[in-house]
Amino acid sequence: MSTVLSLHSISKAIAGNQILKNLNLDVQDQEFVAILGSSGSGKTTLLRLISGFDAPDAGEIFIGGQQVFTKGVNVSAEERRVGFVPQDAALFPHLSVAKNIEFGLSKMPAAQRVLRVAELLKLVDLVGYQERMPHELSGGQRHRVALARALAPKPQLILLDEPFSSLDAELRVRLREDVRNVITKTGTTAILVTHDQEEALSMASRVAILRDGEFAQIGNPSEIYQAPADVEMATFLGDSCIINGVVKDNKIVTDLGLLTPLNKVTNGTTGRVAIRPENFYLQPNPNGEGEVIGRQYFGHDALIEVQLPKLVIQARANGPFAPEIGMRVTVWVRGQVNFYTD
Amino acid sequence: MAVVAVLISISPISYLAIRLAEFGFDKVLENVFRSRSFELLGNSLLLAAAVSVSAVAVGGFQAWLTARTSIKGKAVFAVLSALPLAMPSYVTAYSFTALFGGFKGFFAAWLVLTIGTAPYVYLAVSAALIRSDAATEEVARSLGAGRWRVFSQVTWPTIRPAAVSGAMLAALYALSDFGAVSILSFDTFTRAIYSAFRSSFDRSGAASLAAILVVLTIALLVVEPALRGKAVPTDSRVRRTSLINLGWFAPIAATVAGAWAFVSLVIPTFSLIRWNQTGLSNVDSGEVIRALINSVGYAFAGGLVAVIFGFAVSLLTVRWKSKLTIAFDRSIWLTHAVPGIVVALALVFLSNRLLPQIYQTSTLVMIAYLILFLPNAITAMQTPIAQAPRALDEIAASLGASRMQTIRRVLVPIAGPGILAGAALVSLSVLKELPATLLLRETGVETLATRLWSETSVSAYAAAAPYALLLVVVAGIPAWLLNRQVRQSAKFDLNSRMERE
Repeated sequence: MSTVLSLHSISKAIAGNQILKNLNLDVQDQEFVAILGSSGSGKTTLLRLISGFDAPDAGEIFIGGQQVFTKGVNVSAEERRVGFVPQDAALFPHLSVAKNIEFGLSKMPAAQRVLRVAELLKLVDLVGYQERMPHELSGGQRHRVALARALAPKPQLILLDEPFSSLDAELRVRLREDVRNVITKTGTTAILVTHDQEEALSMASRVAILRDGEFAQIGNPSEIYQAPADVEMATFLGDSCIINGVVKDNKIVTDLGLLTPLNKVTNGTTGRVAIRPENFYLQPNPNGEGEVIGRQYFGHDALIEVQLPKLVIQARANGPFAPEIGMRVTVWVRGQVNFYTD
Repeated sequence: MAVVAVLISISPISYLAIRLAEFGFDKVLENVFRSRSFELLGNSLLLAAAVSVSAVAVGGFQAWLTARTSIKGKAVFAVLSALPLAMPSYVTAYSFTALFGGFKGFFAAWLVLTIGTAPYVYLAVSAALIRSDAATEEVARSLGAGRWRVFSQVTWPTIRPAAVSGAMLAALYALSDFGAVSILSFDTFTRAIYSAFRSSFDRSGAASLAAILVVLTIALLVVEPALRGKAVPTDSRVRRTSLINLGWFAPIAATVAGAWAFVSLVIPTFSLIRWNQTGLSNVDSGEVIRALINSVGYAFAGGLVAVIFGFAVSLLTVRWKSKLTIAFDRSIWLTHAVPGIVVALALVFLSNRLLPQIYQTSTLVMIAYLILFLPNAITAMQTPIAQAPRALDEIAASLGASRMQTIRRVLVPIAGPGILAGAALVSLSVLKELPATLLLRETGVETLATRLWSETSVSAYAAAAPYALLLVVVAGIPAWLLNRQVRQSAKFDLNSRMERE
């Protein structure tokens, strides 16, 4: 496997604000990396540096082994061979679907171009739509055209900038699947930028979390979700119950009882544990310590709020078996938990 | 009321046609097919074509520079690009001839009219550029397109409608301009119509020329939509995109833009100030004040008439849209393209024949203003009225408000300020009007514009100077400021039309 993209200590300030600080990242061939960050974390800025629309203040960028940015070198966007799928697709409004897709193929002989466009239309499942104009397409179709357009010149790397943020929830889920399939099928290396953790975890083979201009954690989706690097990360990536605890005999003593740590701990240290709502198990028990005080029902599951003698926790329960408000329960913690030393 | 407005609007042109028929077909043909007509036709078309090309070149360049590049002092350039609107083109013409003795003929008219029309192109194109999705340009670059290909295949198609309507506007402006070409002694139809009217009792010559000019302007209006091409529906999201870094080209671009600002603003201003130094010292201040009072009076009355009728028509077209009201709207727009001098001439005929008692009275001048400025009044009224949509009326009704209460408590508070601004704008445009005032005014009544005109036509530049200065200070600059505010508060309409000369 070769490295397609390499970022070395990239920094960028905009109007005096340090947006990106000393970033390092390597993306391997055929990898699908998601950069996850809240708005203002600098993720779009990072994408614009990779694509060549903006230049970093310092650092080096390599694409396909070639140095495209360092002091005194700045290969322009049109020569980087980096595909770009912006927010809201941004199709050329005056060109048909086919003309949009073949925009980047101007150097290809006409006969070949026709074949390539046909191939891409098939890939994104839009055969028969080649003569449509962008405003005649639905939101999902527009995004698929934007993807085909970016893939047409066989870029070394494709960048997706929050591509689904303007779509409704149902369409978003379907389109994620479609896009992922197309990218895997074509063996394209991709970087997705998003603020939606579900999107990042479900699509990417590796997730990099950008926080305050720095990568707070990089890992595969389950690592990221199961073992957040710190408490802040645990709350950023989905809900977590944060409970104080002290380590004693390699167990963590908390208000929920003794818990088993997932990570290495030292006896005697104090800290906090983060427990995901789905790691609680609520056992109905008339003599239980907990009382159900809140209940949000989602159908497939429910979020239950339980009042314990010293704290309130949130637990996810299976839809059909979710306890009702007022019921008494015993709270169990499934598996091991992450302990973060203060 | 709207019906009256529409009838008044279309009456002169209809009457012109009737009158031509009365002169006799042969006589009209004889007039039309004289070599003089062809010379005028050549001159007018050449000027219109040259002005539209140069206006698009100048205005388009300014728009691109201020909307898309990272050049220093963009805000200053943006103001400088639109500022020439504050000077009526006949004042610009005056300021140039007063400064440079031999400043006459085609090139002079070309330069002055380009100064007058480039701001319209600038405003239309920069609105289109701001509205277009710059992300498409970045996508095009990521697909390997160089600067030129990005411009020609991505940017140009989105600004083309604006650029073409800007060019058309410039061409129409050049065709209908009377003051500047007359001061600069360049023979176009408007100038010839005026001299034919003044020099001979046989009005058929002037009427025939007017007919050719009307046909010409209508032809332009008819071909415009085809040339403009279909407007591309864009999604109007504004994104943060990188501005073009001009690099080595930046100083050149800044120099070009600066040189144009020098020609279009500094020279006329300098000329105005210089001539006023001599002009103000030996001026008959009573004369100036009388002209100012007359101008303001005409402007106020004319603006009021146009705004009252304009409000009626706008309310009708915005609130009760139907085929009939749309037809109203269209017919008014058609007359908008007709040059002021032609409207004035037609009114002379009409009043001589039907109502001789109003000929050379202020009533006729007011009717002319109504015809000329009704479209401006409608444009100014429609936006504020549209900002108080009917849905609000319905909600008010559902809350128990009567129709009058709704107008008082909903429509007026929302649309009122916009309507007032529109009314002021129309009045200021009336203040600058020259040809209709010149032809129709009551005997002995002089306005700022007519005084400037008569002093300039005998090359009394110093005597004309105070009037020129007052026109810019009283009408031009307030109109420019107001227009700017209206544009910023309301969504700027791409098709907002030119102001009358």
